[in-house]
This record gives sequence, structure tokens and C-alpha cells, in this order.
Amino acid sequence: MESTRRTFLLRSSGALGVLLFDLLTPELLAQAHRHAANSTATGSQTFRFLTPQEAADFDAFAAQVIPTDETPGAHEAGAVYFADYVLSAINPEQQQDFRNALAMLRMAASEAQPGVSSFAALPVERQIAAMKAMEKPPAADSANASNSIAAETGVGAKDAQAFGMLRMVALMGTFCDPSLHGNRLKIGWKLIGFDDQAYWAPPFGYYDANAEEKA
Amino acid sequence: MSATLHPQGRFALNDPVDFLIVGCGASGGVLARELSRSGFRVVVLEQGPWKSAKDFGHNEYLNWSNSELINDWRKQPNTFRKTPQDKANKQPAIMYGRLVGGGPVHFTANYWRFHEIDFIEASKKGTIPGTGFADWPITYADLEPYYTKAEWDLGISGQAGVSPFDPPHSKPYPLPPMPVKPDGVLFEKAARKLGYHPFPAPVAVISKAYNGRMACQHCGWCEGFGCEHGAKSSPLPSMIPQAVATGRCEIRPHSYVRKIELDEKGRATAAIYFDQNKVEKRQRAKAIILAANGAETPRLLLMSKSNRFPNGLANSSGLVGKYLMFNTDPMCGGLFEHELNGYKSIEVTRILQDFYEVDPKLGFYGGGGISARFQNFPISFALGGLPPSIPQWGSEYKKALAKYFTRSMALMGHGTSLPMENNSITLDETVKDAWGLPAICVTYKDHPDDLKFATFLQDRSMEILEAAGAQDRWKYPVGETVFGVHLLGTCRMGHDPKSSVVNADHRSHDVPNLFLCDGSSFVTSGRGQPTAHIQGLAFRAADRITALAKENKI
Repeated sequence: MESTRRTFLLRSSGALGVLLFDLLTPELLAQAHRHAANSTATGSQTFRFLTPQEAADFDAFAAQVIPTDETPGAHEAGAVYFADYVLSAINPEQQQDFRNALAMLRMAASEAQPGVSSFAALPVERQIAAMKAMEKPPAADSANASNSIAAETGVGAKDAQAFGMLRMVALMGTFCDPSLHGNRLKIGWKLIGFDDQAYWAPPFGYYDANAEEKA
Repeated sequence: MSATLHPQGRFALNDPVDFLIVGCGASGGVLARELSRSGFRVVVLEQGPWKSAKDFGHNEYLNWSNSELINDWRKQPNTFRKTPQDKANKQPAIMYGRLVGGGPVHFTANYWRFHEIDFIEASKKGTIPGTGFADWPITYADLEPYYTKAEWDLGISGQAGVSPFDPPHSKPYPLPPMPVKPDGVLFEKAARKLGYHPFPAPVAVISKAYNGRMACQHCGWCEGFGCEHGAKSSPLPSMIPQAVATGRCEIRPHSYVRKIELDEKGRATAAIYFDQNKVEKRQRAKAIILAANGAETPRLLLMSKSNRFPNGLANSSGLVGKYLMFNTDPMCGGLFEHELNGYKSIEVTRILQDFYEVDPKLGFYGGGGISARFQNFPISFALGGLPPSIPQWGSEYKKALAKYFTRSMALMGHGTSLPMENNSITLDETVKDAWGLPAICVTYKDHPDDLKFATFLQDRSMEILEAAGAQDRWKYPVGETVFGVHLLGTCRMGHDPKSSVVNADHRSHDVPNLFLCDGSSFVTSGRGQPTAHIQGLAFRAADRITALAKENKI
């Protein structure tokens, strides 16, 4: 019953405007925030946009961006599920760009090991070599490298752009709000020490606690 | 929040309301509240949606990547070039708040008044060849009562007079400063060690409950986010409810204006706009105020061509869209031994303004301040928050992410941009938006002094980080500006119709019942935090327009 009352308060405050906010306590807001975060935290295990091959390639790519070592990485965070979710449900207009970037990743894989057309099938050291080749191709080091506008031209720049897009999506999928099907179990947030609490109170860290002594 | 939930006034399209305001942001929200409270009937047309506190959350991806609160470049593309001779490329070039409440809904909340010198700098220091550097037609004394009114009516937290560089305040801030954060503690002690004068940042966040609004809960999601507590003092929780409560103000979200119409006498009579369903509407009005921001206001004037104004409405000077200023924001970072947890509470709690003016012997013009701040939420931190020297993926990258997020801070400089006639907002007829209207073309190249001063501020920031005991320090490159958030100066204020677009009352020189009031009115750029000045101008404009209307002089 308590939870229902709190949820009602939160909804009511929104419907009636800001004046009811002074009825809300930080504890009420925190509970509502936790509920909202947890209610959508479970991700899909199937893919709506990515093919199995594309999913495997992107998952392998993401796993090199944030590798799994003594702590989980982008693979465990489900970055690939984030990619599939946002590209099918939120930003479908970006599907083709993402698909093109994956195609360039496969090309980089085949250049790293002739005869292989899947990035995921490469051994780890070849995956890393292929990613390095994509990230900083010779053309990107031209005199125009500092000019982001001019750098959009040229084959090498397209490689770098594809790499940048895949890296960006891998990171978004690792550090996003879990409601977007990535950052599972808040793996990304735990990695960096981010705590998604709805409210805080001082001291916020080491240096403001007894500031006179520690600063 | 649906607009239908508000008990607001309703006006027919053919009803010539007293004032039609285009834009419901930093200035439009203030004008709507002030004019409706003065007894006028007001309609406000806002491009974006009407959200409320319950619509705001902490979803970084949706907010930033999906343009939840800002202009969406997929629907409203920009083009950019450095000089008028260059070919413009299609790329995002400007950002603004696109919702009821405007940019202050998502802004960092820094709230700096201009100082006396900002208004009279050209006459004090001399003009600068190749620029439009000029005095304002008003002084600090003219605007001071309105800064105070903005601070009290919106709800600003701070401590007036504690900095020796602070301009005079007729009243203290209504709310005490926000609690100092760890980065503020380090910054303050280091800056004092170097002989500077750091002080609590004035911010548009309420440190205590105020006017029925809940105090800040220190959740930390300020920059780029709407406040789910209503504690950020944008017009959304402060001005808008009071405006609609008069029953004389109707706010129409999702209303995208394409033209201001004139009658045969040269008076503005109506605005033509698209509603949410892209159906064209025409709202009549006795007077019109453009408060659409420093990019959309000149764009609308340039789109409102007529036989009387073939180069754009109110553009007899030829200066509509020109003298665009973005401000500079050089940044550097530092890593510390213990946790700062910058993501907790507001972005900025300590600043300094010792460099508001610099010694002319340095050989360049410039002025500004430095803030200690939290800069990156998890996604943006991972994308670009680490020192540039660290690998950007792989094992070392992962270790650095874990090490730096809670233990690093940013110092950001906030500096001047000189007014340059070539820097401008124009129409790009070759690129259309989702409504078939010409895209905004931004032409921008920093004055060399702007970049020199930005570098100067960054160097001082690096010294402060060293004095604070940073284990690692790094700079982000100071380069030419290709993207602007502060949209200033494009319909500048002045006495002379040949060298300005509006007069000191924000009335256009060319059309007696057309007023322009937003960042476009700026003559000089200030020192990198324009919102307090925009809103001080808006409160003053409301007073001046009310007086003119009551004297039947509009």
C-alpha cells in the first residue's frame, strides 16, 4: 500500500503541476526512481534488427572496446542488445549507417586475415589489429586531420568514421540507462564508480568532508 | 504535460491579441509572465513541446543523442562555413533548448550578471579594427534592478559581494549558495594560494524550498537534463505557471513560425506558423515580440521578406543575422588522489572572475572567468572524458575509466567573443528542414584575440590544477569554433538604425510594433554566461513595452 501511495503522489504531482512537489520527500522520489529503473531493466535475448552474424561481430567488437578481465566488460553489459534495441525501436533511421559500419568492420577483418569475412571469427590479436587499422588509417592523418569537416572525405576517413560509430554505440550500450537494454546489472556504472541514486547530501566526496583538514 | 491540462487563456486565431510572443524560452517565458500580469492578452508560440517535471529523467542517451530537449538536426539541419567565401557543409552548428522553458531547462545553471565594464568597454578601451566592438545603449545601472528582479522571481542561489570583482547588487541573492563540492574545495584553496578570489557560483538552482518549489536534491543531472524536482530555475517551473494562472496567456507548443506579416502601413499584424500536424495557421496580434533565440529570431526575420523589406524584415541596416558571437570555453582536467564524485549535486559550485579584464600589455583583448565543474555523465565520459593521451579503447582504456571518473574534475574558462560582421546566421536555400523551410547557415571564424584569450584562461586553469595537487593534468585543444550554444548578437541593440537592428527598448528600428528580445539583442558577448543577462534584458523589456503600450505608443 505504501508503494502505491508514493507512486500516486509522484504521478499526481506531475499531473497537477509543480506545486505538489513540496509534498514529496527525497525518500519518495528515490523509491519511484528505483522502481522506474528496475521495471525495464531486463533486456531482450533475441534480435529485432541485427542478423546473428552482425550481432556476433558487433558483440566481439564491443568486447575489445571494453574487454572482460577481472571485471565484466561490454559483452556482459549487453552492449549488443542496446544496439539492437535503439536501432529497431528508437532510431531506425540510423540502421543503414550502422549496417554499413559493420560491413566495413568485416572488410577490415578480411584484410587482417584473408579468407575470413567475420570479425567475430578472428583470433583476438587479429581483431585488435583490424580495429587499429580502421581507427587510424593513413588518410586520416592528412593535413586536414584537425578539420572534422574536411576529414569526412576519403576512404580512410570512412574507415575511421565507421570505427567511431561502432565505438560510440559500444560505449553507449555499456554505460546507458539500463532501460535501454544495455548496461545490464549496471555493469558499466559499477566499473566507473557511478551510483545512480536519485538524491545525495553533502559531503559528496573526500575533500568536502572536513574540508579544512583535507583540502 | 499536455497543454490541455492548464487552465490557460484561449484566443481565437483571428483575435488580434495584445502581444504575440515567438519563443517560450529564457526571455519569452519572462515576457509572457510579465505582460500577462500587466493585464495584456498574450499568445506564445513555441516550436517545441510543453514538458513538465514528471517528463524529466536521467536517461543520458535519450536526452543527448535523441534530442529530447534540444533542436533535432535530423529535422532542422544546419550548414556551416568559416567565411562567406567558403562552401557551407551540412553539419550541426548550433544547439538551443527547444521546448517550453527553453535553454534554461537543460542548461548548467550558471547565472552571471554582466559587469559595468561590459556595457561601456568600447569607449573605455577603444574600438578594435575589423570588429563591431561597440558600447551598449544602456548601462549596468539601467539593468541592475532587472537583474535583481530576475534573481528573486526565478530563484537564484549565491552570495553577492563576496568577490571583489562583483558588480553592485541592490539586494542579495534570495537563496544561500549551494553546498560546496569536493572540486570546489580544491579549486578554492588552490586559487587562493595563487592570489585569486574564488567565490560561490551564482546558480539558477534553488538551495532551499522557494515559492512552492522543492529544493535541489543534488541528484547531479543538471547539464543537459530537465529537473524532475523543479529545482532548476528555468521559466518552466517559475514563470510559466504564473503566466497561465492569469488566464490571459495562452502557450501553444509545437508551433513553428515561418513568417511575420505586415500590413500596408508597415506594421506587424500576424504570424504564420505550422501546428503540430504541420497545418498552417495565422495568429493575429497588435504587436509581436520575437524571443526565439539568437539564431531563430534572425532566421525568421530573413524568411519574412516582403516588397517593403526585400532583404528580410526589419533589416534596413543589413545587420540582421550578423555579428554572431558564441563565447569560448577552453577546458582542462585534473586527476586527484581521493574521490571527488563530481556527478553528485550541481555542476558548478565555485568560480573566479579575476580575469574579467586582462592587462592590455598582454597584447590581446579578452575577459572571462573560470569554473570548477563536473563535465561528463557516464556515456559522455566514456566517449571523450579521459585525457587525450590515453588510449580510447582496450584494456588500458578500461582501467583509466575506472580510475578517472570519480577522481577527476574539469576547469572551464568562459571567455569573450568579439563581434565580427562576417560571423552570421543566414538562410541556406539549398538545404530544407522537415517543414520545407531554408536551413540555418552559420558562418563563423573566431577573432584571433578570442583564441589567444581562451588559451590564456586555459593556462591559468592548468596552474590552478597544479596548485590543487592534481596527480595528472591535461588540456583539451583550443581550436576554432565550429559549433555554438550561446547564440548572441545577431540583431544588435543600438541607438543608430544604420548600425543596429533594435533600439534600447528592443523595438525594431523599422517596424514600430515589432520587438526582438533574446540573445540576438547583445552588442558584446559578455564573459561566457549569457542567461542572466538575457533574462535581465527581458524583465526590462517587459517594463519598457508595458509603458509604451499604456501610453499608446506602440
